[in-house]
Amino acid sequence: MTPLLNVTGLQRHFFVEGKNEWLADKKILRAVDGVTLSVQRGKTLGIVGESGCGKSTMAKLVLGLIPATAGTVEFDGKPVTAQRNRAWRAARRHMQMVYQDPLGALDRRLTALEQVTEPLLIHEKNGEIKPAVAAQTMMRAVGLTDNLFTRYPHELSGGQRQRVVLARALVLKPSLLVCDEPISALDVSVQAQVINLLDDLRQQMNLTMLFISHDLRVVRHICDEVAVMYLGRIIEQGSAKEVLSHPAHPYTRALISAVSTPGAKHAIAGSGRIILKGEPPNPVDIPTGCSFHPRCAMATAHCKTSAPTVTRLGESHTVSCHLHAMIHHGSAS
Amino acid sequence: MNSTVVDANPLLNISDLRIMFDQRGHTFEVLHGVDLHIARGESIGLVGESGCGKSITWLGVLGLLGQQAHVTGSVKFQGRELLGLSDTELSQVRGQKIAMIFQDPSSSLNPAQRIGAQIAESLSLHRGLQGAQAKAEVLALLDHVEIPDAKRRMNAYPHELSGGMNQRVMIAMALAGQPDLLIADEPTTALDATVQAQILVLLDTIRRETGMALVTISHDLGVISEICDRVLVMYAGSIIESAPSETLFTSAQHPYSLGLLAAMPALNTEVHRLTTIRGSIPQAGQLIQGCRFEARCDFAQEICRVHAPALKTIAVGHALACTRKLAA
Amino acid sequence: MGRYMLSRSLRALLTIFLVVGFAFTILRLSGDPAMMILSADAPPEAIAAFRESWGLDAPLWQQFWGYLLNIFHGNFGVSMRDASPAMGLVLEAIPATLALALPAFALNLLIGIPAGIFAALHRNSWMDRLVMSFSVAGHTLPSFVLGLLLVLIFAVSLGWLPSGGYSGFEHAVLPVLTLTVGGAAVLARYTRSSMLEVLGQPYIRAASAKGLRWSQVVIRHALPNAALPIITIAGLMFGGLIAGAVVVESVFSWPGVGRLTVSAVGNRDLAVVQAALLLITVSMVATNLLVDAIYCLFDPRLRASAGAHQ
Repeated sequence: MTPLLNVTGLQRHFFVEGKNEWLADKKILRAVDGVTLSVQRGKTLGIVGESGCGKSTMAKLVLGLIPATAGTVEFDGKPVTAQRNRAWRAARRHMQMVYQDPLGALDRRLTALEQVTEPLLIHEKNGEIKPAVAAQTMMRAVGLTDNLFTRYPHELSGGQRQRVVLARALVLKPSLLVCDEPISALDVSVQAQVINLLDDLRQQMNLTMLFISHDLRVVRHICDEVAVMYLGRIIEQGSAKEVLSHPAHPYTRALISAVSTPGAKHAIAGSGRIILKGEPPNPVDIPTGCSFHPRCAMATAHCKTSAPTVTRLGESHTVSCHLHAMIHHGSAS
Repeated sequence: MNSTVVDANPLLNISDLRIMFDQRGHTFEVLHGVDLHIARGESIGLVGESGCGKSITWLGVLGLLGQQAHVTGSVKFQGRELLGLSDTELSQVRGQKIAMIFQDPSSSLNPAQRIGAQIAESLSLHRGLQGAQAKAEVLALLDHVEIPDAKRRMNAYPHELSGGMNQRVMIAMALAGQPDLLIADEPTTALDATVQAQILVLLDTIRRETGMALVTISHDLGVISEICDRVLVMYAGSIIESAPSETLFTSAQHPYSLGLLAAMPALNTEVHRLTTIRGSIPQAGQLIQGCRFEARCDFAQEICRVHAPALKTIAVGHALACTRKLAA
Repeated sequence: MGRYMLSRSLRALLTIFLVVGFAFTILRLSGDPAMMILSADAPPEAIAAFRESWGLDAPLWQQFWGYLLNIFHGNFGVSMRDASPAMGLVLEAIPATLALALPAFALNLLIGIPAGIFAALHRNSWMDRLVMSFSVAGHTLPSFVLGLLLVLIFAVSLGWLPSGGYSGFEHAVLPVLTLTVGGAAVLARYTRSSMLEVLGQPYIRAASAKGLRWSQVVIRHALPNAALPIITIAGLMFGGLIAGAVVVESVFSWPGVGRLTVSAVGNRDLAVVQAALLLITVSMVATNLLVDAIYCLFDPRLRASAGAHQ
C-alpha cells in the first residue's frame, strides 16, 4: 500500500556568509540533511527535536512551501514541487497546515467566518453546498459557537483562534494535515481541549497527520509513530510507544529524561536524570562523525570519526547510533 | 520539607494584595486579595494559566507595574513595608534584596551592551565593585552559572548567545546583588527541553548553596514539581489552593488543580482521552460575584454563584478556597 | 563592515551618476536655453550661433559624454549669463546656505530631541499631547507659509526684524526660525516613537528590576537604543537642509545655493544648475553614507549581519 507521504533523502541547505567577509567564503547551513520517512494513510507521525533540528523546515518542505536542495517528497504517489504554478495551487486543498501562533496565522481584517469561507471560495466556488454554509458546519464541528462567527481574531481567545485555524485548514477536507507546534502557545487547560479535538477530527475525517512538537508527552498521546530529529537528521524512528518507552539513542533518552512529570519530585536528585552537556548546536557547524558526539556522555573515539548508519531494531524501530545495543538493552530492562 | 511550623518571622509576608488597573476610564481589579508568606531559604512555586496573576503579583511587589496600576494591601519584606515606598527607595530593594529574572532571556538583556558590562552594572550598583575587582567577580559569577569560556563570553552581546546562555547570564546578574529572594518568572518556558533541565538544576543548586529563597512561576506543573517545596495554584487573580509539593500532586482538592493535573498527558501512562476543563478563563476585569471558577466547574452548586470562597487551611500546610470542599 | 561600506559607497556613486544624468537630460529637453537667454525675439541666426557656440546642437549623448570628461578635468562649465565658472558661483553661495543650515540643524537637535524624549516619558499626559500638537502643526505647515507668516508678524507688523536680505545677524533670524520649526517637529515625532518602542521592550523592565532608578534606566538603557533611528533621521534632515532650503531662501531673498539653483533653472543656465545639483547630490549622498557608517558602528547586531556570522 503506497504511503500517503513518502520522503526520500530530503535535504535543504542554506548558504550563510562565513566569518571572513572579504574572502566571501560561504558556509552551508544544513537545516535538513538527508531525511527519509513515510506516513501511511490515516496515521500520525510525530517529529520531535529541539531548536535547530530542522523540524519546521521539514514541515515547509513536505508542503512544497520551499524547494528542496536534494531528495524527493511524494504525496499520494505524485512528486511535490515548490513551483507556485496552477498544479501547486490545486494541490493545496489536499494538504494543509496548522501553526504555532494562531493570532499570526489569521488575517486581522477578516471575521472568523470569512477566514474559514475563503478556501471554499478559492477551490469550491461552484460546489453543491454554499461556501458559507459549509464553513459554518465546519466551525461548529471544531467547537465554535455561532456567536463567535462574526468576531475578529483579536476578539477571540487563544483556544478559539486555534479552532478557527483548524476549521480553515480542514474545511476542504484535506488528506494531510501538518501541525507545527499547534498547542505550545496555548494555556494548559486549552491544550487538552485542542488535543482531544485533533484526535476526534483525525478519526472522523481519516486524516493523516504530521505532528511537529518539542513536547514528548503530547506526541506520545496523539501520534502512532515518532521520528526524533537532531541537526537535520532523523536519529531514531519507530512506533511512538516503543521509541518513547525503550529509546535506543542517547539523545532520545536525554529528551525523555528532561520531561518534567508532576509528582516526580526532586527528580534531579534521583538517579537516571540525564543532563546533557552543552547546548543544541548550530546547524552551520555540524560535528564530524556522529553529529551528537560532542554532547554524548558515552561517545567513543569511533563516534567522533564515523557517522553511524541506520540500524533496524524491531519491526518499525530504527536508530542511528554506534552504541545502540548498549542503550536499547539497558532501557528495555 | 514540610512547613509544619509557620515561620514566626517570614522573609516575606503578603497580605490582601490587590492590584487594579486604569484603562480608558475604567478601573478593573486583576488581583483579588492574595495572601502568602515565604520563609528564609524556602522554595515555592506559583502555577496557573494566563491571567491568573502569578506574574503580576511580583511585579506589583517590586513596583514595576507603572503609573496605571494601583496596588493595595501589605507586603512586608524582612519586617519592612514595601507598598508605598518611593521609586528610589524601592530601587534599593530591587536587585539587592529581591531579584527577578524573566521569561525571555534574550530580550531581557540590553541588546547594545556586552553581557559582562551588564553584570558589572549590578555589581557596581549593589556592591560598589569597580574596575579589575568587578571584572574578576563577573568571571566568578559566569563560572558559577556554568558558562564555558567565560573570559571570551564576557565580551559577547546577547544576540551572540543562545537562549540558555542568556538565561544563565540573567541568573548571574541576579546573583550579583546577593539577594535574599529570587523570583524566576517562567525561567524555562522559552528554552529547549534539554536546556530547561540544566537551568532548573542550576537554580536549585544555587538556592541550596546561598540560602536564598526562590519563587518559581510557571504554567508547567512539571517544572514546578522539580524544584519547589510548596506550590500555590492561582486562578483568575486569586490563590485557590496551596500545599506542599507532594501533597498537591497526590491529593489535590480544588477542581481546578485536579483539572490541571489531568490535562497534561503523561509520558508513561496510556490515556485515551484527556480530561479537559470546559470553557475558558474569564476576561481580565470581568466582574464575577461568586467563585471565579464556577462557570467551568463540574461540581458547582447554587451557592458557588454568589459566594466567593476564601482561602482556608484544611490540613497542615494545605489551604484551599472551595465552598463545597470546605463545607464537606 | 568594510565590505558593507564598500557596497554602500558604490551605490552612492551610482546614485550621483543617475541624478546628474537625469538632470542633464531634462534640462536640455525641457526648453531652449538660447531662447531664454537671448530673448524670444532674437533673430534665428543669433540663436543658431548661440546654440552652436555652447555645443547645444550636438546629439544628447555626445553632450553628456563631453560633460563627464570635463568634470574629470575639474571643468564644470561656465554660466551662460556672464561666462563665470559655474562651480565657482555655486561655491560662493555655500557659506550663505550653511549660515542657515548649521544653526537650524543645531536648533532642530536641541529642541526636537528633548521634546520627543519628554513626550515619550510622559506618554498620554497633557504635556505629551501639547508637544505632539505643536509637532503636527510644525510638520504640516508648509515652510513658505510659515516664512511668510513670520515676515508678516515680525517684519511688517512689529517691525522687529527685517524681511529679507543678507546684511547682518538679524537677517538670519527669521529664515533660521522657519527652518527650525519644521525640522524640530519632525525630529520630535520620530524621537518620541523611537523612545516609546524602546521603552516597551522587556529589557527596560529587567533593568528596573535590577535596582536602577528610573532616570538611570532611561539614560543607560533606553536612550542608547533609541538613539540609532534618531541619528538616521537627523542625518537625513541635515542633507535635506542643505538641499531643500530652496523655498526659504527664496522667501527671504537669501543668496544661498537654493536660490541660485532656482534662478539658474529659470534661466536655463545649464552649467550652473548642473553644478549646483552635483554639489547638493554629493552632500546628501555623503550624509547618507555617514549615517550608514554610524549605524553600523553602533548597532552590534548590524555589525554582525553586515559581514561575519558567528
